Amino acid sequence: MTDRDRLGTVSAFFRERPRLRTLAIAGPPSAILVVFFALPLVAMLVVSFQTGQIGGAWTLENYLGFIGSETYLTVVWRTLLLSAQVTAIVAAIGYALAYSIVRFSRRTTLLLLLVILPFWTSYIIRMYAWINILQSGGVLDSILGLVGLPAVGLLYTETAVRIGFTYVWLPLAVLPFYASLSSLDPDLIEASKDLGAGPIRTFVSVTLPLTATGVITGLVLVFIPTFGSFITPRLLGGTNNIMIGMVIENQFKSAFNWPFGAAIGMVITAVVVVLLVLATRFGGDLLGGGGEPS
Amino acid sequence: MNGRRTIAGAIERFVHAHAARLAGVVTIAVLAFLWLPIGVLVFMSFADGGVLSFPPDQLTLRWYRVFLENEAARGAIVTTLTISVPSTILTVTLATMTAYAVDRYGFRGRGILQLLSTLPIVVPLVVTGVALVLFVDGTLGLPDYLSVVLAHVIRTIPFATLVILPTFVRFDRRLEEASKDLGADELATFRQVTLPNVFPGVVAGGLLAFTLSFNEFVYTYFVKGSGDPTLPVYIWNQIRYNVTPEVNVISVVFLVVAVTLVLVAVSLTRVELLTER
Amino acid sequence: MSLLRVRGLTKRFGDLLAVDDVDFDVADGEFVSILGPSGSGKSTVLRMVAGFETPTDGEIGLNGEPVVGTPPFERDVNMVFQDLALFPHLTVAENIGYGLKQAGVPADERRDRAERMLEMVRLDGYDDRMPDELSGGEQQRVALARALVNEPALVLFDEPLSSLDRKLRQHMQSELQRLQAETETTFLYVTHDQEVALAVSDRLVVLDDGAIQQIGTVEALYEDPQSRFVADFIGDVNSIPARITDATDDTVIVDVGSGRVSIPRSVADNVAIDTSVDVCVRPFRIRVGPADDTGAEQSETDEPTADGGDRDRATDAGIGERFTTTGTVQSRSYQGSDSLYEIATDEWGRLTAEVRSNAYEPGERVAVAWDASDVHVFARSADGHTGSRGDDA
Repeated sequence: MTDRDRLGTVSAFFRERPRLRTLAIAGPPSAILVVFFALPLVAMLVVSFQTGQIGGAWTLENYLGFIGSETYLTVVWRTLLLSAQVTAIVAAIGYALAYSIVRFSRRTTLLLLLVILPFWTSYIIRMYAWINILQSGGVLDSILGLVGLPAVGLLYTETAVRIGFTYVWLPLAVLPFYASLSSLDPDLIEASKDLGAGPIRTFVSVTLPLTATGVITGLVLVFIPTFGSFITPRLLGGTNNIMIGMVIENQFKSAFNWPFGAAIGMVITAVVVVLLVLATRFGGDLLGGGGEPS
Repeated sequence: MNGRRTIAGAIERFVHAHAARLAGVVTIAVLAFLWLPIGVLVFMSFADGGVLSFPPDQLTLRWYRVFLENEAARGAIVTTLTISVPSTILTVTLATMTAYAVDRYGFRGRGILQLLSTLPIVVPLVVTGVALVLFVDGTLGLPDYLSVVLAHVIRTIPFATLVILPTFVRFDRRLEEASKDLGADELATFRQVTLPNVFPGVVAGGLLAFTLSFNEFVYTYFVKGSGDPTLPVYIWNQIRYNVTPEVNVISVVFLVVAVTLVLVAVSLTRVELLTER
Repeated sequence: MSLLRVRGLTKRFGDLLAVDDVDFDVADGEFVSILGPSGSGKSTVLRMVAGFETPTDGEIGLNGEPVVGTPPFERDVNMVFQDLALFPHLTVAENIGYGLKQAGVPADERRDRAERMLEMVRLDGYDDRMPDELSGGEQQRVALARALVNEPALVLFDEPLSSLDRKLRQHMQSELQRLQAETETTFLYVTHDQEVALAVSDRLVVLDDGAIQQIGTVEALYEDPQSRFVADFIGDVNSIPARITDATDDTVIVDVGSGRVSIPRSVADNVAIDTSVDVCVRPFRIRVGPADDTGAEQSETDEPTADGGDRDRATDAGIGERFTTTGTVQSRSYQGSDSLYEIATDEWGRLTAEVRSNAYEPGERVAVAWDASDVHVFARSADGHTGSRGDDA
């Protein structure tokens, strides 16, 4: 039998068994995703009810201890607040940029590339750049000194953390904003102006409602990773700016109380899921009705 | 429709007249914000006096030489490659299978497969990282190397799928029909007609997956116990405990590699990356 | 004083001169169409009147006020867009009421006026539907209602009917005329389709290459075109190259290669002796008859002739008052009431004739004739591009 014949019989074999064929193609990726993504999350749920280490006695202590602790709840609250602030800043800047590129630029692809490229460099490296800039006597302080202004030594402040997050997520947020805006028929904006609405009224009445889906996507894409982040607050915020992600990391790398860390992780996931559901269900209406085609 | 002599009217008229200029300012300002820090890194990699003195007294290639001679750094690069290359191959294969299945077949788990393949982007990295350690390391007890490779696969599959799926969707099925009409069976058609046509998208997905994997920190940080660190973990350690200008050099090297790979990926798909018009 | 007054309107895009020194007026209550081929600049003119482009030069006056520099949201002008541009996230009633809302009209009044407008365009009860639920024709009418409800001084149309099928388009044409009469609004309509323009307009402005070719009523442009372009663009025309050999006060003699013909001055003014010209004739003016076996042409006409005498080209040295030749039928197209014949003539290339009779078959030899008084003569400019009859440029 030649190779061709062998392959031919393979084709015939699967042709007669469409379900087996689907299984052969969709099966492996599904299996990997289930075993190495879904199941681990389930495992985390299970471990969160154990005491001290994997396989310990069943308990609710991890959750109770966490929810009952004012310290930890404060950390969660502050994390929520900071994430919300960062999301708002990134959304505003990102949308403005996407709008400028879609409506006013001629070299759109080049500009988009320039925006996206930084995203494909290492997160750590991008943080390191800002350490260079924000540290006492670093680039920012040196430049301020040159123009006669006092040094600010922004490193290890909450502002530094905010700058870091904005820097990291801005390119990512621009993508859904751009996608949404570029599918908007420009004639609609002209029609609105023709009917008497100035550019600002047009933006509120036409552009924003019709790009609502993109806006929501962008907000979600920024808020969720910010909420769980530990690298940026550790590198740029030092010990004064604790975010909940740092607490989890700490439990796994230093304190070695894995079940407790798992419980916190589950709490975070719950918060994220709730916010996601709220956003997708009500966000569109808040922005004026997402009548966006597809 | 009649001339409005109000403040609102004046603002609208102002914006209308200067819209293009405002857009230009926004674009330049944001791009500067995004690229100046990178410029600083590149600049500082040539700095003689070390990280703390800006502006540097002298410029030098010294740190590049140090980097090239640094065994630990070189070891980290090798480690990263031994993880990223296999994981990328695996990711691309799985993503292509996912894209094919989702595009062509209707089956009961289709929605779930789609959901699962994009979810890793949404779940906070720290949560998934922790979960992976618990299950893959703690419960399954797989060797470190395998755990890390699989972690990278999970991390990169959503992005690869996001790029490869549209390529399949856009592919004209009539080409396959013509091929079968001319006598080629399913496998032969796939090999000779489908694959060559979706190949650019597949390669682009692969390049993006590789770039992500090469830069991947969080999962690796959790899953990899001890032993040789990958480059991002190595940098993390350097930054936390022992800052040298050498880190700047590594950053620049990273940047060049990442930028090149992304540019190649982009030119292959004619920039229809994640933003379909 | 006219409602819209355009003077010296010019628009340059870099090196490209899209609109070249355009002048025209639109009177209150008129339905004027700007007609021209693609790239003629007609859309650019419209967009400048609407306020979406700024002229490089020239003035635009609306009701006596200059409007260049006024943004579109402050002009008393509304436009119906080519792709209609209905807001997909608003209902039909909200779409129609949009302009009223911007003008500060309260909600109840908006609703009433929108309802009345929907009745007028025969879409009663459509208030709460969404644009994507409507058919093409219904969407057209909503777009129209949205513009008309604001009672603007001028309504602009950017080829809105081009995407409709023929029957629907004809229906919409008469709807447009009805609505214009009922609302007493002034319409400025831009199109490349002469059928539409001829059907609905009071006057036409014909543009080519950014410049005005001719302005006038439909009859004037059809009966008395000033250039070969207009003659060809409005209706169809056959064209024969010729040379002026002689000219008197009443007549002009042209040499058409196979002989000379005397043409009344009235259809050939301002052409000079010894110049190259195009002699143009409309297809329906051409008569077709059977060719004689002996080769002598015969006229089939029963119509009374101008001078009743022997008008055959029998006198060789003489100058006739008809154009005659023979040819072979290439194709026949049955149009219902008439038939269109493509005839390859022996002397003058291909001609198209429109006749009542369906009798002639492809391949048949026929005789072809038309009167000299039925032609239009246009000068040719030096580069071969046919200019206008009254050569001022």
